[in-house]
Formats: sequence, C-alpha cells, structure tokens
Amino acid sequence: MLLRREASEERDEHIDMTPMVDVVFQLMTFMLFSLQMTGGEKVDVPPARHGVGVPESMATFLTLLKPTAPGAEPRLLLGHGEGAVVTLDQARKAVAEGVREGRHKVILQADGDVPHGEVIKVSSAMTEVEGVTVHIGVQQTQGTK
Amino acid sequence: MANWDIFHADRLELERGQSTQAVRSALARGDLRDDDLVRPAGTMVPWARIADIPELLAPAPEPASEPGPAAHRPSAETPRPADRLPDFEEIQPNLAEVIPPPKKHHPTELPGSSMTDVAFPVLEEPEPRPLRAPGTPVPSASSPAWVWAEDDEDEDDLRIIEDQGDIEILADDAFDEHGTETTGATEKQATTQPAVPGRSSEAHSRRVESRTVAGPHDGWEPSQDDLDLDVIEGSRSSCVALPVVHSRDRDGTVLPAEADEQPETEFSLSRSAIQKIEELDLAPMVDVAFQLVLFFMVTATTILYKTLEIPKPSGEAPAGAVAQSRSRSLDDLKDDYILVEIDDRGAMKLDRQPIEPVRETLVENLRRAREKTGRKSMLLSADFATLHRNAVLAYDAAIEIGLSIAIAKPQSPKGPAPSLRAAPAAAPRPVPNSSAAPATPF
Repeated sequence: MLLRREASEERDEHIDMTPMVDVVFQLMTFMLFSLQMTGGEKVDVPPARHGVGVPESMATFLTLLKPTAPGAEPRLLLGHGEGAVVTLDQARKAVAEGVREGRHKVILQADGDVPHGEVIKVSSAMTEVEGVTVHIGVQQTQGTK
Repeated sequence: MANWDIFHADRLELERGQSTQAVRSALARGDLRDDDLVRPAGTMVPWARIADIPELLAPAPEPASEPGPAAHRPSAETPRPADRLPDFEEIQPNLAEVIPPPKKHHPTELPGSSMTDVAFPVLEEPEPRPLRAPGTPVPSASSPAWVWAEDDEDEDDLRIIEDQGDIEILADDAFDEHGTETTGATEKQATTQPAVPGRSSEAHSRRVESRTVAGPHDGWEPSQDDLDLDVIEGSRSSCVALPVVHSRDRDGTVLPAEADEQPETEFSLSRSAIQKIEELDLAPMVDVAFQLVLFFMVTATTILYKTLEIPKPSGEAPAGAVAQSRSRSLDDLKDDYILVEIDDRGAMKLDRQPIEPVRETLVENLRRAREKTGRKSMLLSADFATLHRNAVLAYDAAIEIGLSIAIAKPQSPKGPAPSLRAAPAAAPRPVPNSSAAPATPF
C-alpha cells in the first residue's frame, strides 16, 4: 500500500507543548526524589545504625556543641543550635516547660567530639525532670536500614 | 373631498393624501387595482380594499392625461422642467384649498429608531428627473435613497414616495410573463429609472420596485447569487424580493457602488483562510499534577529524628550498695553485665580484653559473650574525656544484638557538677585504674 502525502496538503507546524510540560514534570519529580536538602546542622552527631524516630513536635531539643578549644567547656544551646548558650538550670527549666506543653522527650544533639562525660552530665541533669526520657541524637549511616 | 392613503399591494408602495378623484382616475387607468388597500388619509383605521369602498369605484371623468396615482407630492422647493407632465395639483385648481399641501416629510433622526413613525422608507430626491420615453436609456443619475425600516416584520412596511418622478408606474400588462417590457401599456412618469421590475402575471408576487440608477448599464446585474433564478438576461427587471437599489445616505449622499458590499465591516462571510486556534491541552498537565499530589500524600510523613534512648538513672541506688554504703566495683558487676571500657584515646576493652574499636568486632564479641555467659546487659564504662562518638558506637552495637545498656557515670576531672543530683550511696570515688572504678549503672 502506497501512502503518499499530497504536496499541497497543509502542514501544521505548531509546536505541541504537552510533551514539553510532561518532561518538565518528570524532571521535577526526579529532583524531588534524588536531592536531599540539608539544613546546615551545626553539630555532627555520631552515626548509628539503630535508633528510634522521635517526632519533632514531641521533643525538646538541646544542642551540645564541641569545645572551641581543647579543655574548654562545650556549649549547650536550646533548640537546634540557633539559640543562646544556656546553663544546665536553664536547660532543665526549658525541658520542664516542654513537659508542661506535652513534650516528654528530650533529644540531645551532641557533637561527636564532645566528651562523653559532658553528655552524661547533661543527660543526667535532664532526667531529673519528672516524666522525661532522654534521647541522644544520631544520624543515619551508609547502607543502614 | 376626502383624501386617501393608498397602498399598492403589488408594488408595496404607499401613497398618501390622494384625493378621491385621483383614486378613481388611477382605477380607471389601471394603476390601481381592486385589491389595493386604502384608508382615509392621516388616520390609523384599518386598511380596506378599494373594491369594498363604493365611493372610490365610481367612474372617473378625468382624462388619461392626468398624472398617475403615484403622485407624489411635488417638492415645492424644486423647480420642474417644462417637458414633464403637469402635476395633478397643477391641473386641479384650488387644489391647495381642497387638499392641504402635504407636509414635507423629513426624516427625523431618533436614536435607535427609524426615521419615520412607521416602518417604511423615506425617499429623498433633490432633483427631478426628466421624462424618458419607454425603452430609452436612462441617463445615469444619483439614485434615491431607500431607507428600509428596521422592523421588517411590520406588515405596513411601506415606502413613501415623496418625490414625483422617482417611480415608474407600469401597468400589469406592461410586461409579459418573462418580465419583458411590452409596448403601449407603459405609462411613465418623469423618471430616470428603468422599468419597474416586472409585474408578472402572478398577481400575488411581491416585488420590490427597483430604484436603481437609471440606465441599463448601471451597477447591478443579476448574478447567480440572486435568489430568483428567473431573471432574464438583459432585462432591467429585478425579480428578486429584495431591494437592489444603490443606497443613499440620509443627507442624500450616494453611497458608492460597493457600499452594499460593506468592505469595512468587521464581519465577513468570506472564508479566506482556515483559522487555526492554538490551544494548550491542559489535561496531561492536570494528570501529572494529580499524580504528584497523590504521591506526596502517601509518602509524606512527619519529620523524625533518629535517636538512641539512654537509660534513665534510677532514683534509688542499688540495694546492695546502699546497705554496704559503698559503690559497687566493676568486678562486682561483671557477673551481671558485659563490661565495655573505652578510654580517652578510643581504645576499647570487652571484659578486660582489648578489642579493636570497630563496630563489627564489638558486635561479634558482645554476641559471643552473651552466648557464653548468658549476660543480657552491657555496662559501658568510659572516661570523661572519651569522645561521644565512641560511646555511641558501643550503644549501637549493644542495641543491634538486643542487649540492655548500663552506663557508668564517669568521674569528672573537675569534680562532680553542683547541679547534678548525686545519689547518696552512688557517689563515685576516683580510682586510678578502671578495674576498681566504682560504677553506678543507670
């Protein structure tokens, strides 16, 4: 069967935008899956394969930064590190306030280079508040479940 | 003498203010038929057939030289040539006393309305047209304006013929069936118009008189587009039921021949090119958007932070330690806990045995120790200066094999913190070696 297009047949030369839009959406979907946005954490928490997930709305966050100089005291901040340096009493009061607001968990985001004793000291101070459980923040390791 | 308004049923023309005598004369000449409608002039009484009015049926003694019933009101302002037939008013003396001169009807421009109070056009002919013998070519002249009423459905849609000489009144037998003009039966007024479109033998045919520009070679020629296919070529008759005259503006300006083609109107029925409408099909875009929404609805979760729960120190010291008022040493706890020790340099020992500080090695040794001794808890004893990451390594290894965790509180090099709540029997004592380090697992 011979298919022949008439030479005088009028051709529609416009560009169909539908496939272009589809490709754009596919690219956007791929980027959403592949890219990982990081918030620029101030602390480098140690990796761990196992751990429990704690919703952000159910915990009070404390950040323990590594000492700026050897032998110096690590800095304790409220929240994710954007607040001011606080003492243990102030942190304990913040935790107590969180307990009244319904947040019974404390997540201590301690840098990996922070002395173990300091972490234990802070966690011990936080456990003095009734009804609080202390969690140590960790990050996901490569190839973990 | 009463005046009458006459409506010619065949030509759809209206004549106003015709005297009874004129009507009779027209009847006698054959210009009027019994089926034509009349009514008293200036009234709105229903039209009646001439045949139903005996007064008009009386024989008219007037000679044939009288001007026809299409008479028209002469324009008093316009001079008349000498070779034209005298008007009826000129023949009839004291006509003005009998019949009041007709009012010059001027179109009144009303917004959104026609010029007259009734739906028929008004003719304006500034100049009279010379008489023309039948069959002679009509000199070109400006054509009168036909202003058709907007309300075409009005049955009184008539035309007022004001100016004498604009209409060429022909008898019915002036044309044969084919519209060809015959001789002798034509009676024409001073007009430059061609023959009135043919009065065929069909009495009920309604044809609009064509007032085209005089001359057989004027602008309009019947073409295939005309509705009536009976047009005889070369005939000046217009057999279509539509006006085919050249339009004239209200002020008498003759519109160009192309005026009726309306070249400058926005609307045109001509199809020059296929209009292409470029449209963007939004259906696939919406489908993709819905897919994305569904995906995020399914997969979206709250932000979770990965954490390791550390045991909470008990409020009460172990019973044995309280009773003995001394801390339990690590050796005392080795039967219940798998001891993991980490110094400040990161060196690791398991049950006093050095091991490689690698997670997999620690996990393996912990598993072996559990299987060997049946202990199900791990006691982590690290220095104060031990890096936090090393302690987390031990936590993670213990959780992997399901061991419970106990953490020995390290001794601070600066002494115990004042804010810490020290248990009475659990105060750690500084010891030189780790083997005798008091441990208070919590």
